[in-house]
Amino acid sequence: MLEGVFLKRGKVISVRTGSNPNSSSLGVDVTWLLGGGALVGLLTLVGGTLTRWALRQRKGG
Amino acid sequence: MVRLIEIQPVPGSGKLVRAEPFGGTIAFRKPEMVVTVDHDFLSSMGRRTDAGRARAADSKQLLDPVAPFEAHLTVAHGCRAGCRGCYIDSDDRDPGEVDLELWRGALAILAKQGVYHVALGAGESTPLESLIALAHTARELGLTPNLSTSGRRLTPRLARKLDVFGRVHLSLDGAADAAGSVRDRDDFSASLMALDILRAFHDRVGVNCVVARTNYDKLESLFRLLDGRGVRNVELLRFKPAGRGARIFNEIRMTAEQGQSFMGHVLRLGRRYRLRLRLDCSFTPMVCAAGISPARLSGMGLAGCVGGSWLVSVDWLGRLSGCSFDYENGRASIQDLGRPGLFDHYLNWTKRAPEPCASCDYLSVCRGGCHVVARHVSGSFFAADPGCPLVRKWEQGG
Repeated sequence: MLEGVFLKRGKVISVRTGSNPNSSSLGVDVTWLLGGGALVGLLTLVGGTLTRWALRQRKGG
Repeated sequence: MVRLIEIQPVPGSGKLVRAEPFGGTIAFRKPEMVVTVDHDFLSSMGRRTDAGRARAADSKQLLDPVAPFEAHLTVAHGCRAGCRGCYIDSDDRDPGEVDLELWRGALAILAKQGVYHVALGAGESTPLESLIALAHTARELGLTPNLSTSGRRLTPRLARKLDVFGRVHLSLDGAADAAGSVRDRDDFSASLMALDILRAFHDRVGVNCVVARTNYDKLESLFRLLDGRGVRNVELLRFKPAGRGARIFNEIRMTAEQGQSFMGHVLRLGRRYRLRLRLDCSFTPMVCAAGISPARLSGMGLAGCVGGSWLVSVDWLGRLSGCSFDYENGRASIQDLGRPGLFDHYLNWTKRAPEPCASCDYLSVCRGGCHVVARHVSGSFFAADPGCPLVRKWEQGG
């Protein structure tokens, strides 16, 4: 189980959290920078893990 | 059972993964996020990415997706408010009626292209019912609709119907001490009432705040107000020289000192009032100047000008553009979406980047900042963003 979710090759390029509520320009959640950017590593780790988990639940597509 | 994790299938295809030149994109409804991964990631999950890899051979912009992630639709520009900085050049003679069939067709085209999100907006003359009707169409097509509104026509009855939107943000540029400082219009009490109505009937409410030199020092009052009312989401927008806003841009744009201190200022306030902060793409130079590594910034999806790439805009005339503030080159219509070469001036900007952008470590993240600001100030779309603290430092010999 752990191997299937965590120990996979490949890279998460980016995780954009939230969705843009603005009809004129694109926004990004900078709350992740509150710790000087250290939280971004955690963000991509969690985002990648959730992505692997979700894709494993639904094959195909 | 309530689902805590839910992927948003790609509109138009129903697939879970959108194949991209760089790998793939997976959008989630819960938690709200868009994840981009490389080819190896997808291969390791047993997903075929050959189509995307073939396109990558022709692409030097590896993070430019096959289709926009989102589209901004300004469906009408009728408005009687007459704000002197209005970026859509609103017109009080326009009754603000919306051609629903026309916009439903536009939504269908966006869905077919695989666009995930649409952000709807209009002048104040437009009935919210029209935007709600379009939001339902967007949902039926698999798109997630979001709304930005002044809240002028909001009633509790209407607010109940806004649940069709993923997010609803109210335009509010300050608390009582900054009322009218950006839009030149004191409508603070009406805005506050609209915010309270929204909060009562919608779970995902926030505020869009345009930042200029006139309200920069008063942001704390706004953040304190939002904290007190339980509003946790704020999106800060840089004032742009578009529409009537072009005439007053030099007068109210942020000062160099404000640009330099911007990130520290807003992060400090965000922490103090426990707000979730979003910054619009034109603030990217200010974020980059804060000294955080480019890898970390790109990891959280920060991007400067991604007009015509991550986003497209359609205005009330049906014109398609790479950005809501840039219709100067606009001869394209929504029917042209996906046509090759349409937004090459955006996509190829980094290849023509001037100094100091060309040798800047943040170029691939920042992409030169806001080209609309650059063109207004210097006359060239391909100039460096004059509001960038790193550009200013370079100009001063630093």
